[in-house]
Amino acid sequence: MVSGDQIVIIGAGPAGMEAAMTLVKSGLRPIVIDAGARSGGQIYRRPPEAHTRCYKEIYGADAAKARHLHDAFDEVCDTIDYRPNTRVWAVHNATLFLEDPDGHQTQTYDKLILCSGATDLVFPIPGWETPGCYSLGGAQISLKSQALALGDPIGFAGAGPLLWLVAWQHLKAGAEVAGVWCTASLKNLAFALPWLALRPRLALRGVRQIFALWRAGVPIQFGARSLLVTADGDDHVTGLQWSNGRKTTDTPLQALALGWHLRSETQLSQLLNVPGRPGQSRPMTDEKGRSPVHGIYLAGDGVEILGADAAATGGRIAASALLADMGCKQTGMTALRSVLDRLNHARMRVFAKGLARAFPPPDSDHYRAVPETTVVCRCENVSLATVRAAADNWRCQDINRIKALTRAGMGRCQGRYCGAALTAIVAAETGRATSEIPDHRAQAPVYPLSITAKDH
Amino acid sequence: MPSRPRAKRLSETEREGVSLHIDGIAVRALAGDTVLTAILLSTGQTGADPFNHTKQAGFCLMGACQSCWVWTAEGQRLRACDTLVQDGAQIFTDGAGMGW
Repeated sequence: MVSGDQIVIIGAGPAGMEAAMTLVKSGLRPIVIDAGARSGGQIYRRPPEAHTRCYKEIYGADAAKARHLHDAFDEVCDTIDYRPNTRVWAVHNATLFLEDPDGHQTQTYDKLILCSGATDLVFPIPGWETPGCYSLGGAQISLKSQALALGDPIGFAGAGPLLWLVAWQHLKAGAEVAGVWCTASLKNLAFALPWLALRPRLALRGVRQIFALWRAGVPIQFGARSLLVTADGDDHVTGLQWSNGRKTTDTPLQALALGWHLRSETQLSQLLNVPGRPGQSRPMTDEKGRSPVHGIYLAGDGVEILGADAAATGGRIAASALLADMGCKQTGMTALRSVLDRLNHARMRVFAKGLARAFPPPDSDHYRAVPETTVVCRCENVSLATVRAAADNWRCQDINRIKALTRAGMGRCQGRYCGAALTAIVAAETGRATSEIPDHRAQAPVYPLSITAKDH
Repeated sequence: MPSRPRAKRLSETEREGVSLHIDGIAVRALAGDTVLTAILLSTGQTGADPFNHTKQAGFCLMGACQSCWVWTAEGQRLRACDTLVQDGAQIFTDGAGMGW
């Protein structure tokens, strides 16, 4: 089937890749825009070409999945318009504004599948602005894509499946792991087991990782609290101070990776006028990935944090919905697969609820306990005291107002790494639920642009 | 302020060598390293934060946090975490150091 409609897919992680391959099967040739240098996204990120480690070394238990996805996408790459190293920095009037190594250009579209993925959900702890503190995802990327441990030794703190996975990957790769500090308790984990049992193999893999770390003698602390990064006068991390509720301990380390699972990247969906789900910071779609905006589809962690497997199925589901809406004939296989994918998706959603129960992010008590001098916004160096004062004195019920008053969230990362903390602080100060606090409003450009960016 | 390495290579050390300068200091890196990797293995910092004047050393490594922008000798700015090293590159972590 041939259609004159220009279809653009943004993102080449599992969701974008699967969406593209589904469209190719129906004879369409989408444009795939990838901020990365090579397709794969973050979880299946490919190292630069000079690297030689085998799949097993890089992706571990996911090696077969990674290889299959890369190979399948490479196979269709010639039949589509794949554009690596290209970032979408704005969208307006069915036109995408792009920056690539050659400069600036635009691309119009009739249909769009947005697979923007996720970034780390990070909460501030005292000293986290010290160079040598990284996001968990950052530590994993350096390991996978550069064969580099960000510190020797390196520690891991936060909560969520990534915490254990990344710590275990470092252990296996030969890095010295100073410890793993999980802010969730074992009790949290135990209560979540009925939900987690829905994906027994994945749950078991997580348990095995924790067990392997323990067996290797890596210090593991569940229910860790009062985390504080210590540093020397040269801006180097020297250690992590932590408490188990009874006593405070200092553990020496040279780098700390922090993360409480992930958050959706929603800047582009906001610029596309896709409304958020009431009370949730994620874009609204139907169960097939259709947004309320005509011609805009969404898939993957940019819609809902369900992980790589769900992103892949989500990409196929959204592409299948797009094909149906265009009146394209789908193969029986594609249609059947879409039904199975949706059933699978439901199961993964329940599993994700289990993860949220097992590894809850810091609650408002956390902010009552951390010192007022703690930096909340790394980019603009805004302290908890300043944010709190703005919330109290100006009765701010909105982190956009906090941004205007204090500059928190106004810096280079555009609130990606402080937005969740600001929301939690404002919720705590105003006695409301975090779901009642609106997110940062996205502004173009969604990334800083190089001053040399120019028209072709 | 003394600068020193932060990170440690775990494997893949057999790659081809690449020579570049970071803030005027000759640095040996390997083909396929990012500029940030070269920095973290040598001088250890990507320049002062304009507000609190502390050094930076990257944070997200996926082009989202924007804390690792550096300069080339030509005055171009680039994200150190998603730019690969090139032989002969002159990288400056601080625009002011270039006389800008």
